[in-house]
Amino acid sequence: MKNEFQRLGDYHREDIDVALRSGSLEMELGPFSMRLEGREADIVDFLFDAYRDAPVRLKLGDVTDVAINVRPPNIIRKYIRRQVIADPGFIVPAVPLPPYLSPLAFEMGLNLAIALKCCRFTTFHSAVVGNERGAILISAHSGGGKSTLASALMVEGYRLFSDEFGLLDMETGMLHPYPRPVSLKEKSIDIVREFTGEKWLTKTFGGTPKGDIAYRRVRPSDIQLSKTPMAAKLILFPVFQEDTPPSVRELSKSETIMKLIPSSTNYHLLGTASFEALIKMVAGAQTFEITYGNTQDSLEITRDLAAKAGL
Amino acid sequence: MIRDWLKTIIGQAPMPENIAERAKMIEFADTHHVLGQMAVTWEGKTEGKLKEVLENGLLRTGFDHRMLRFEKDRITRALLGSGIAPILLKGGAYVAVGSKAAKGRRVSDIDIMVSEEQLDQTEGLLRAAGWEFDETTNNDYDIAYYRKYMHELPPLRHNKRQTVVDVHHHLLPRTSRIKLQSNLMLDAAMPLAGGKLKVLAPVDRFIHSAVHSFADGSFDTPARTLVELYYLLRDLSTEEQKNINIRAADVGATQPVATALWILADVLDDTVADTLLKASNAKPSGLIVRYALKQKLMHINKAYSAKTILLIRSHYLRMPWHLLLAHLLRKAIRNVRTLLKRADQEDS
Amino acid sequence: MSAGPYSEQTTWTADISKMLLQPSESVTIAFHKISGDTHILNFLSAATLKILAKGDENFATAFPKILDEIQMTEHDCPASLVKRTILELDELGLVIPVETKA
Repeated sequence: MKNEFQRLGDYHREDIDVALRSGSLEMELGPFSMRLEGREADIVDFLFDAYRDAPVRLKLGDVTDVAINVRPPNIIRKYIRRQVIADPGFIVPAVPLPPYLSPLAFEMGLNLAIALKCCRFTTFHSAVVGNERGAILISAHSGGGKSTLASALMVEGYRLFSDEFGLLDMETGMLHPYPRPVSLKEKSIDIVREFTGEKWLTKTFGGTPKGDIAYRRVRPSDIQLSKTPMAAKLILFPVFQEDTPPSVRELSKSETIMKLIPSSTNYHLLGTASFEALIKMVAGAQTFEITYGNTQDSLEITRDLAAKAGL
Repeated sequence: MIRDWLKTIIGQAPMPENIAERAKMIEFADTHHVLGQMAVTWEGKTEGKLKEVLENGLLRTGFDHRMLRFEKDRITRALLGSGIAPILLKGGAYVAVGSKAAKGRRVSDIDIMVSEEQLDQTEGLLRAAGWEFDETTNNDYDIAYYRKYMHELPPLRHNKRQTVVDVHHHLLPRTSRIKLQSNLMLDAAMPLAGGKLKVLAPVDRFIHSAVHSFADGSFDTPARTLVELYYLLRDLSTEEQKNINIRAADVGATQPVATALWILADVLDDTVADTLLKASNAKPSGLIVRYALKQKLMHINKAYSAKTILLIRSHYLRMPWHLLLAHLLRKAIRNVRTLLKRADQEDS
Repeated sequence: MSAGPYSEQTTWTADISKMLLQPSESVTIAFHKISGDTHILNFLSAATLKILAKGDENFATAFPKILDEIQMTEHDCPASLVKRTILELDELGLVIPVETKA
């Protein structure tokens, strides 16, 4: 029997379910392969909802970069008032969640595994979009509006690299795509629904520790190009301030570097190679801090800056 | 299966052909902090994703070793002019002397040892240079307790770099039942280039590692410990290897050393260790402890009962008044004999 | 604060083979290959590093050379400021007392 990567949505639900239960489901996005394991029907639903265009195979074809097992935190929770955590193979302080929120545990666990286990790239906590001319790295804390801005830029014609990770190649100084669903919280769900249309959003998960959460699906085109890295042309540090007129401040190279370093999960770990790649990336990009009060403003500023940066 | 994986990790068995098992082995190596050692062993012999995954191990280890080198220099700097030349212990020493045990080994904290007379001055100078006790241990009671009963100060964390130094004043807790002749080992310590730091002699490094795992500790990181002992033994010349048993007797570490040799011979089929064990008239730890150690290793993620036995044993070794517990343990020995036999059958 | 004991007689040195120095606009980005730390140096720190990389100096002997390097007078850049700069670089491990050289 052939075991080649196929679009997840083309498999029978039962096959995905069995592979997931036995921990043999392998997914590949950008430079990373992932071994997925779990017993919750909610995760199968979620995979068909959020990852339908992702390439997967039912049996492991090789070892994987990361493995994630969504499982009960202990034997009692397997049977009594079921709860789940995502286990990436190392000890993490995970809040056990009820089974209907297992997709969230899955997403958070996968993010942690990528951030802490994968050392082949310098990893920045940021969203990245790009086109055939270059990439935009958007560096902000959770809630800083990077996912909303990235979603808006997708509608503008940019392809999604990632809404969580800027993966800097230490040899080339280029950014690699890792297109996973864009995580949207609370108000941003409606904002993104408005300009994206209902068909690109997953169901909304209510009552999570972070409020309402929904995901903007990755498009087939984002996945098709997920092996094509691009150099950053524009680096943005968005700052959301309600009811503030938009403003733009250009940052120096050194300021940019010192702002990006603390947002990296492994810059320090990787040493000289990551410093050199960071210098290279920043040298080739313009950097701005943009302050805005609504998505429309941030989009207009970005449009303008992108045009000036040759994107 | 874990026995085979450990052998693969040290390059004494081939890579599993079955992909699912191979993936499990890699996850095992990563979880138990020996991916770096495995990566060094297999460097240049892998390709594709396996190579990329092993590279993660090399990159992490590379960081650990750079950090260690920097912190080592910082300690020397902090002690400038004091005439104190601390002994680097464990990972720090392995890296400093380029031991086989250093290759790919993870190092998180730095362990140094000074004589009791130098303890106050060392602490004072490190604290003046930015190392601090964590809030939980920064009180008179804890500090006095660590000095009086333990073998090291509470961990000192640097306030800017967050790196941790453990300052030892003995090799084992003062209350330990094993009365190690640390002074003999300290007298034999060798200065590193520059003379600002020392390391234990090669044979003593093996003995200290054995003592640390089988007399003092609770065999917390079994996979790592086993790989470490395996390579430390290979650092030694044939002459030095022959010396282990004599030296162990001299410093009062016969039993932990015999236990270390036993577990190397038993789990890794290490013929060097086996020969040395047979050449000595020393007895490794008793059956129950050996059973527990082995269970902990073989069922590394689920050896709950073994874990309990080891935990109690660790306390018992540290605190003489836990003799009572040891007595209770002995009562269970008959059952264990059966269990050990069964475990052996399962393994083979 | 310093990284350890020192006196007026301490001679200092900078091993720039362990660093990557990248001038950028008005500052120098300094990366230390062993610590893995990245620092932004102003012109005075950068000049101090340069002088101590050329030869071993104590506070007193380094001072005129650094003034010369930055083209300033004692009035604009007092000795105490240079001393403080050396101690700050010591704290970061960018300069070290010659005695502690490994």
